[in-house]
Amino acid sequence: MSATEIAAAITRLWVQLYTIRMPADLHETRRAEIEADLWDHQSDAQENLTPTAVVAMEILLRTCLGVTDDLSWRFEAMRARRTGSGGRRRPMLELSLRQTRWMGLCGLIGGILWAADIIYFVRFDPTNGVRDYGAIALPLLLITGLLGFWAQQRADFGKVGTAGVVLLVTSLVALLAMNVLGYVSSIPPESLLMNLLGVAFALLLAPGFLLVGIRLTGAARVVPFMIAFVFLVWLFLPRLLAHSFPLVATWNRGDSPLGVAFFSLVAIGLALTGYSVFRRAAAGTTPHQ
Amino acid sequence: MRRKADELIPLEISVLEAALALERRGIMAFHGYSLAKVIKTATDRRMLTAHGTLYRALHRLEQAGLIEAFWEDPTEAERERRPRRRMYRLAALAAVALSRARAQRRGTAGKLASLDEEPETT
Repeated sequence: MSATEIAAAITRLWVQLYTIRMPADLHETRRAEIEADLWDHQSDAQENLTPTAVVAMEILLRTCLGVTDDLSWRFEAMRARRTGSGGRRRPMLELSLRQTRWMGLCGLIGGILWAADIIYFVRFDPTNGVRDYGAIALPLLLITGLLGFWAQQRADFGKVGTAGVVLLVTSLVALLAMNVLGYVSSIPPESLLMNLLGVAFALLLAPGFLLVGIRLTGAARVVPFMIAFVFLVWLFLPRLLAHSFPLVATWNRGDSPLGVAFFSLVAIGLALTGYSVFRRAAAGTTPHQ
Repeated sequence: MRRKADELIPLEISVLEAALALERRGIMAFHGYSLAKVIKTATDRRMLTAHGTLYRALHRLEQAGLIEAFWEDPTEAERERRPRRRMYRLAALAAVALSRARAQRRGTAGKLASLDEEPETT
């Protein structure tokens, strides 16, 4: 394989990359245009007896120097296509009536559990194990809700949203595992396993919420952004600054006013989101009945 | 700064000028690579215009209705045993848009020159 062919192959690969998931006509037009250009360039170089290395370098430079324009073209073309077809990206929260009811129910149960948990914490001994049911219930509810979103909207959720959901689910599974393993006396909180779970949870939760928030539309995106923000400010940054890993400390036990505020926010967010979606569905604006 | 929708950037002006130059030579339909070559010669550049930059400019000009794009006859490409080219030709509006863009450029240059000539007040 000559240097020119390698350079041309790199250019073709780049075209495939930046036209990925574009409408077939746009993708095919650009691919064919570049293919013809590469052929003309090489044919012209042969006629002029240009050294192969020079031609390869020219092709590579033409590709590299055009990267930003390629990406801008993709953005412009996709936007024009969406606008031209009169369609906009379907919001993630357009769920079926049954799913919306399920989401509302999740929010309601989560809210009740957490309210009970907070009341119990305030009135009784915070070390009592009963209140830990709430700590397990919340991640379960979140996972259920998020998986519901994911399953329903995967086609429109895009890579960013899918990555966010994967991060969220992973982090919440880590949280759940921490809670469950916390009852196993042979696994001390300072063990390597618990540390790893704690770090995974701390590192993945906020980016997960942020990525999901990016893909949401309208006011609904405030909820994940707010959760990620509170999480970062309250838990992650101070602990990083204080070098106080492991993160399996009692953050999720609501034993600080900020902890209570955090979980209240999560519960309220879930309940409000579920309620707003329920209202929209009841008003008949949901497309999937 | 965001450009106006009907404003031509220098590369788009160069593309239209290159296309006019080709037309004057009797080449009424041209492809991307031929344009890149004419632009390179006319502007004394060492390199051909980057793929992304050139085809994005062509796409914008097409969207603006200043050039028309079409696929060449497949038999011609088969006969020459090469990929089929996407061809372009100037639209009727192109000459007007080009002269307006040139006038704008001259206007801006004139204003800048007059700024240079003004005596300093400080």
